Amino acid sequence: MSRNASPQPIKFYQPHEKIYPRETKGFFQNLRTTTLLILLGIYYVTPWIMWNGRQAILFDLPARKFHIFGLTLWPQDFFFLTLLLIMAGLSLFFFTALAGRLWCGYACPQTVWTDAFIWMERLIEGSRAKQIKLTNAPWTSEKIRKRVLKHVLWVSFSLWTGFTFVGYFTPIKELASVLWTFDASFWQLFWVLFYGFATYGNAGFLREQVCQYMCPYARFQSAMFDKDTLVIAYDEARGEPRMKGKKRNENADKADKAGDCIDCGLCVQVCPTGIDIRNGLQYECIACAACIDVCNEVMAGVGKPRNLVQYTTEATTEGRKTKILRPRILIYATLLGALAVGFLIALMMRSSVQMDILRDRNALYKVVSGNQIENTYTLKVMNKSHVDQRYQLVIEGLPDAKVAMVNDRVVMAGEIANITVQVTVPKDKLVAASQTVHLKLSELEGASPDSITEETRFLGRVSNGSESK
Amino acid sequence: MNPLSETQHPQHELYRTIGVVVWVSFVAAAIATALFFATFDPLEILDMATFPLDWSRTASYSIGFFLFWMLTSATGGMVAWLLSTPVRSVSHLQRTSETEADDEEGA
Repeated sequence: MSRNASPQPIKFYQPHEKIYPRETKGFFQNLRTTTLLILLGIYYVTPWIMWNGRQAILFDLPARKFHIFGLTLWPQDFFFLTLLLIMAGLSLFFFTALAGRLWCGYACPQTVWTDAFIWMERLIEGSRAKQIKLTNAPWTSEKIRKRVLKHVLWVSFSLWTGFTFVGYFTPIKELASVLWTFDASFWQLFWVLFYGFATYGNAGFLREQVCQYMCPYARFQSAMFDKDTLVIAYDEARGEPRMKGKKRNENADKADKAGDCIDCGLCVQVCPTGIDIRNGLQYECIACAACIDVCNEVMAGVGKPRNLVQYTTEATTEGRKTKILRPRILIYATLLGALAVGFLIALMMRSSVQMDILRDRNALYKVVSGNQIENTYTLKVMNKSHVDQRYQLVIEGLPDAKVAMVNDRVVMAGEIANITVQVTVPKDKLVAASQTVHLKLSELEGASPDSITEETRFLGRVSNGSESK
Repeated sequence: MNPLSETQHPQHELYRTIGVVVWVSFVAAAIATALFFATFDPLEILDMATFPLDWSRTASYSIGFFLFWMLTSATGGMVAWLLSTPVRSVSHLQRTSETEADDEEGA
């Protein structure tokens, strides 16, 4: 029995080969840097903005209310959040159909934080070539120093990101002070660390693998693409056959003359997902346009026209004119517009008081003081305003009726109160055994008191005297 | 141009499957948590719990989220595993080998 073959360790996954994107400069990279800085700025600054003495944007989960500037939303307003999410989804469809993966290249948090981390990596370890050299170099003190420094920078940035994230859900100034004095609650600390760790892992290590293996959008975006969608593409007709320096010169006079592509490979080196754009549209491409910028620079250097790699559409490549207004664009835009208008109207008409009327289940009605018919209701009153409220209740549709709020009291902001109401009416004023009435509840406090009207039924027995008339 | 053959090594699959399952279940769990706790106040649920639980709202949201996440990733993991398990039915294997034998005869 031969035992020559040494046992091979079983590898559960192929080691991932790290991509070292080369730094690029150019129009699209400037645009991206600007967008990235604005988005990061919004993320890190927003929780510190104050409004009327409290945090302007605070999703106060412990108190179950969301503050968005002057607006306070309660769990009862979940409908608005749902609408907002549907609108966000539709906008993604709309922009994808129009301009391809704008989201991926410019706005996706995965891209934004990965770019921030790559920037820090370059700051410490230098250019692509230096980074590759450092990886392959033995562990000298210089390498250890650089690696430690990089991770310190990454971890600090991640922790700050986690802290900011938790600052959206719990007042950030209080959070800062309790963290400073090591007095934070377990869950506050946990979420700071959890979100920080997620940032560190996703932006530091997983990077393009999140887009390639984990992101569903990268897979289903093709359903939104058509021939008129803006994509980044290599002009094959102009570029091929690609040839390098020496071969280029040799073939200069021959029939299969070299194309414009000098096969320098820079478009591959700058790509953060490690693909070759010259192979055509690929699902890994996040449309960051780094290859456009670097190729334009190269083309300028060799004295050829720009845009060998460019933003274009399949229609243009086929020699047709690109149509912007197409049915799918119009449908997405119409839906989006209608939802946006509906959302704004619903938000403006949103009442700061909500009321549900429950009839007393024990007795349909009671006869009191001999000639009065009484109905009892329980009102579930939700105070969605900022201030503690008192209310006034009137009944409509029942002449000579008296309304009494049995346990009239102040309802705190955000509270749901059960208020018992007795409505009495003289027997002879009743015209039917069951009639529709409206209860109108009006706020008495605040700058612009709101009101709400709900329908219910008033039951009773019509007196014989009135029946015979 | 012919489509490129699969470029990933099969051993890559496990790594990828874990990533996909964990991430997709994370999103599903986040949505479930939002829907659940927008509908129910955890403090009211805790009042009715069969055994005494002294959790704050923040703790309840967090624990609820991780429970949802565990549930969704367990489901996702099980689905991924079952789908990746080869068909081992004897009759299926027989049928396949017969077809292969027929092909060889035909060739």
